[in-house]
Amino acid sequence: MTSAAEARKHDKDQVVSTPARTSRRTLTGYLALPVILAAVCLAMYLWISSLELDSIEARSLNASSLAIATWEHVQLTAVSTVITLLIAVPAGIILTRPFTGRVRPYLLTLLNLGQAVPTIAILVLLAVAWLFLGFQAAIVGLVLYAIVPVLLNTMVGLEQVDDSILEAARGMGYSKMGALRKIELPLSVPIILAGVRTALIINVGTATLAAYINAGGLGEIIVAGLSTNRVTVQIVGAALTAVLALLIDYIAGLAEDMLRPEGL
Amino acid sequence: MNFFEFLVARSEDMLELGLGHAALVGAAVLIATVIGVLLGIATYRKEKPREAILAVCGAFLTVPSFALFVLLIGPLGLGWKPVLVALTMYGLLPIVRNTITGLREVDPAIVESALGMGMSRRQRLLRIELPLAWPVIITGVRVTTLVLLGIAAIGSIVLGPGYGEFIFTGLARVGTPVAVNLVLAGTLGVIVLAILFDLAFYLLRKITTSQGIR
Amino acid sequence: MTSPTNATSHDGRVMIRLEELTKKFPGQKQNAVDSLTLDIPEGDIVVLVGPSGCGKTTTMKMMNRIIEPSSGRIILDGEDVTSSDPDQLRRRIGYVIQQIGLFPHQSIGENVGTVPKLLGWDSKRISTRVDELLEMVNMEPSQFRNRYPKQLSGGQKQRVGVARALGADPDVMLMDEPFGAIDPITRDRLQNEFLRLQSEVRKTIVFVTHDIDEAIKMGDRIAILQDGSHIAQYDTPEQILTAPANDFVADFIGKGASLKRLNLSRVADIGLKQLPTVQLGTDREGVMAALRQTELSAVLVLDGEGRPLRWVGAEDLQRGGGRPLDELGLAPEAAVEARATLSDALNELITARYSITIVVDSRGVYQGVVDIDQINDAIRTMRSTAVAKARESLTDDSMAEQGRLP
Repeated sequence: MTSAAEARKHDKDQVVSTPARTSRRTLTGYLALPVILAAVCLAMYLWISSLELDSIEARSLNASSLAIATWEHVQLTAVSTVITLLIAVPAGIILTRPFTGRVRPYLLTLLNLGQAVPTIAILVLLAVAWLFLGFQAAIVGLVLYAIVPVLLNTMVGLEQVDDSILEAARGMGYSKMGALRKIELPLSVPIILAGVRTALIINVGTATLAAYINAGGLGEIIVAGLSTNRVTVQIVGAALTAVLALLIDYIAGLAEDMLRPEGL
Repeated sequence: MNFFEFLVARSEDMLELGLGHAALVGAAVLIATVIGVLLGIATYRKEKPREAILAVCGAFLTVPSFALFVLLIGPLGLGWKPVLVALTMYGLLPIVRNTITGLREVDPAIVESALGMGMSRRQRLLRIELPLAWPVIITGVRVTTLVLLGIAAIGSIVLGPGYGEFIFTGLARVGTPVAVNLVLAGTLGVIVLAILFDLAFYLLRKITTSQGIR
Repeated sequence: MTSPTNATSHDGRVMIRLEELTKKFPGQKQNAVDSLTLDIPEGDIVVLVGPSGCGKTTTMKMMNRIIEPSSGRIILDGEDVTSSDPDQLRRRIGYVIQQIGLFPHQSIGENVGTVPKLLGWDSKRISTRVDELLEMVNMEPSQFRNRYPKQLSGGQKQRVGVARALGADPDVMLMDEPFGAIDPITRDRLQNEFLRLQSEVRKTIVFVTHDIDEAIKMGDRIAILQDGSHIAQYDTPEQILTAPANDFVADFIGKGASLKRLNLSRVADIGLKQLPTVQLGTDREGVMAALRQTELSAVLVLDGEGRPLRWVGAEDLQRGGGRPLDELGLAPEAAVEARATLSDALNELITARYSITIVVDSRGVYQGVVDIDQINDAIRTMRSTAVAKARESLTDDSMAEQGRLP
């Protein structure tokens, strides 16, 4: 086995592999999740309407505070995802160039171990060590954590581009840059899209914890419910968070299906 | 008190929290592996069930951990139980996914020759397909373990055991000198556990994989 | 379509009998295998050959029920196995496929011992058997037993594949393009080795290939198949080459059938021509006398043991003065043994001086010569015998048909 192939095999050992989907989703497949999520929201609404809320509960569970929390959550997710991608995708491209071949296996092991660092630790460290709190601090924490999986995804994706295709491209006279732009990147689109989705899911989840450093979001509702010992508030907050996360993942999945180049 | 002195002073706590953290994650990984591999075996040959199981496990992983822990307080109360269940749910996807990929990547010629020699379905699975898929499966387990170590720290919100306790105590004392030490110690503990688990998986993989496919 | 010429004249027992075997894959209009009836005699290599998509592989895979037939019967050694336990059936049948499919996570020894282990042999018996099998395929057991498949070359993997298929000494072996993925030089060597092995073990072998030359080389009998596994001709290689049953067969054999046919006859099978020779040490007059008798411009000089030494002509005698005969004339470059094929003889003949191939025995002693006329005669004889045989079997068939009528 050549050392390059060996290195690639090693890289492959570091990630979760996705079984190839053999057919596209059916219409029922596309509709199932939105219907379930809508049903959950409706059930929750009916349930809360039927309850006598005390003043503490009412402070959290009203349309405007829920809407504000949701909007904050979406902002946290969107901003952090964009920044994550701006950093992680170019870094992934640079780190798959041949000159990094020797250190790559160690780098991948390190990045994998990095996934074990608790998100909450990054956020809390920013708060306690530098007293860095609020929206900006949350963005820094989210990006720091999400970079690792997206970077891994991009690197492995680019390396999976078949060597023979690349060789053929170079043989036809593509320059290194040309081959990257015209062959490697288009062939990696599905992997990069998967990276976008990964980043979104991670960020929408981690953003829940941003409440602990006063950055708002749906986590605030849950934290309020926990600190005031109001189970209703906890459940509504948690359920809304789950619904939002699943919805964002669903939309990202739709985008992935639509943007994937024909034939891949 | 500098960080090192803090570690020495709290070494007993560090060890105790570490054992709790490791035991919780270890148990979750074990349960997730058993369930995940069985689900993978049950679904890898048929497309519809395969897609369905991957979609469900994917949805588990999408639900933010904070939300899932809190939602599980209702049925399971506070403590290690909701954390164990949540971690197991999160751990399923990488394991199921890699089990399916590993089994599907086995060269069809190898399976056909096993069939041609008269191996039953069970013998083919146990003697040929699973051993060949094993390196891929164990990689899934390894990735799962690393991710779960991080998530387990959040479990302290619902009073689960582990290093999260240090992190959340540190957060509660924000502004005091001990806060940074607490958070750093908790983080360091998780990273040390990650390295130990990774090492263990490296060795396990080496020992349990035939040299013919290494 | 002309009626298939079914093989009629074999003395052996029938090992595998296919009766109106049919396979229709779901979603396909035509039957992949359409009502095939075929007898495979014990101890023979029967080659199924035909263009791709003709159903040959499907036919073979129905014999060990890797593909289940849609209808028809499979009778193995007198026993109907169409609906018996397929796993038990497969343990009785060796199976070799083109990709070989060695188990990469198991050592060579474990691979070869697979079927004995499935049959529950004890480990001592398995290990003795494994060594025996590895020796049989020319692989030193102590050297290869503990290696893994990735450490072997393509040819070695193929040998292990054959050894594994022979694991529990099955009566029947199915081989699906077993030499298909191997380079031509190694393939030729492996084919020869396999034929030698077969002459010892005498298995009933069904062999699938798309290569007619391989079929001719390996087969005791060849079934040439058309779409739907319809038999275009089922006969010995000699008959197929000299008397193709129809245009399809003739096309499939392609050009050069006569040349291929020469591969199947040996020099020993035809009468050798005798030319005058002289012993080393014969005097000038003796050589001149021999030269007058021969049709060539030179005579062959033999040494004391009777081995060919030189070609010497009248000119050589004059130019050489009194020098001994073994320093005159030309070395005889073209010589074959009696067991060489006519094709080998022809090959030598084309390049040889005087257009003659010398035939010697295994010790190199001169036996006679072959020239182009004899090869010509041989081809003509073959053709007329083949045509006569074909005619005979046609009459047999039609008589049999009539006999079956009520």
